Amino acid sequence: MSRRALLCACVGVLAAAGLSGLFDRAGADASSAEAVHMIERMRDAPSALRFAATVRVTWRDRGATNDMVVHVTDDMGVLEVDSGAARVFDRGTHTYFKNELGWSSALVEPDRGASPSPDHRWRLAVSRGQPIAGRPTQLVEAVRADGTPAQRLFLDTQTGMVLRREVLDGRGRVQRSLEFVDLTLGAVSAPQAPSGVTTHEATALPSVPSGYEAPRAVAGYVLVAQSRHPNGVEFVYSDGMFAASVLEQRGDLDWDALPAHGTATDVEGTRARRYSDASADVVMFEHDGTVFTLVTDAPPDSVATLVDGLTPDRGTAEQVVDFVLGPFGWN
Amino acid sequence: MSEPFADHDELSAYLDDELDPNERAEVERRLAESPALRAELEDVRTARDAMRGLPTREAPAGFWDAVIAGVRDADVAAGRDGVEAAPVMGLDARRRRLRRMGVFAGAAAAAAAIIAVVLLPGRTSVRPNVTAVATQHAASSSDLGDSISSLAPVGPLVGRR
Repeated sequence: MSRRALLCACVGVLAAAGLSGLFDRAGADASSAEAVHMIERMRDAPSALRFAATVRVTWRDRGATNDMVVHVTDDMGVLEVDSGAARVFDRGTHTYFKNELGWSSALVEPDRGASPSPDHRWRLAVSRGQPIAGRPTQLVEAVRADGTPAQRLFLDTQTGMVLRREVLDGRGRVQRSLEFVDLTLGAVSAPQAPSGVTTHEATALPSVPSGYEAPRAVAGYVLVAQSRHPNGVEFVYSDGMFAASVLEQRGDLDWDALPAHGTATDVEGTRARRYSDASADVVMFEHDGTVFTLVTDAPPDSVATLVDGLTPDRGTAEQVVDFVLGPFGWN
Repeated sequence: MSEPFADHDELSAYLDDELDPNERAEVERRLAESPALRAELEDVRTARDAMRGLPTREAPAGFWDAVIAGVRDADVAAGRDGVEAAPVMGLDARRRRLRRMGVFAGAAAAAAAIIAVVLLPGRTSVRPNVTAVATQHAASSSDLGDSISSLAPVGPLVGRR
């Protein structure tokens, strides 16, 4: 082969590779934009549908997999979950829970700031999913930087609602999931709100109160709300895909009073107690005279980075101010 | 610390606009001259506002009549009946004086409590409720995102205490 022919061949190969990369990138961008649109549609779907369904919930806790079946009824966004022993009723910002003691209400949270886009932290991809509850689905995968999936959403092709959700750890194991076993679309008997239940509201805070730790962004999560609760200050973070609530309370954690089913652990050098439940991981730890209770539905590897980011070293002056003002609740 | 103004009643009366014009002018003159007095005025104002923030209760019907009758009976029993009565403070003035005494007693108690806390800064023992924080998170997450994903898994939790 002549030198000129060799040069042309090389240029051709490089051009082809470049064009291929360009098309791949364009394809990935298109897929990510489509995934974002599908996730937004999924979030709006319950407000536009009426259905009754049976849903299987699974979660891993201390090496064992637990599961439970619940019945879900939705009437244009008014939702009821019935697990037999307990019920949940949700309408707008009001959520009520019922156990053997009767109904109680969740705190009504103030309006939040804008959450990041679902592709803010995750690479998203769309592909054809397997049928769930006899219905065709599309699969939206959120993928870590190392290529492992963190979440799989199987979305109903017709309605856009989620029919199966899996949250996976860094080794590809499903940490928690929900899956529709059956689904009946159409008229349902509308869930009824409980009566006579007192509702309380959390108080919105315009800024982070002095003496509390709440970085604007941590481990890819963005602070979207801060509010005062009756027992502390709560900060809500979102990475667009998952949410993390952090309740901070001044004082010392009473380790002995915590429920027994947790796991004593060390998260990034911080002593912690961890609980893995059906809906979220709950992690409790102390830092500089404050008790942190972190709750998140994110994969387990995100928990470690969140804990690390929430516990920066503080200056001596700040600690002195907290020591003096802490007992008065002025900080 | 020196006492910049001995009569707290007068400061309290000043705040309540109960002084005559001459007394009021005298207080304002001293306030203008003395930063310590102005600070004391603020203390009195703070304590007064705190007391007024407390819920009020009406005395039962006939209470004040019973008090006056009781005082009269005591005078009779002590053989002072017929003796020229000492000047008696009006009920409103008596209530104001009682209220001022209450203000200063309350302020003193608050100061003592603050000093005790400063000298002995106790730590609060925190016992988070795992189920409560998890259900609260699910409720608030349902506002942010997909309510089905947030709330369907909460069912198994709610039954737990």
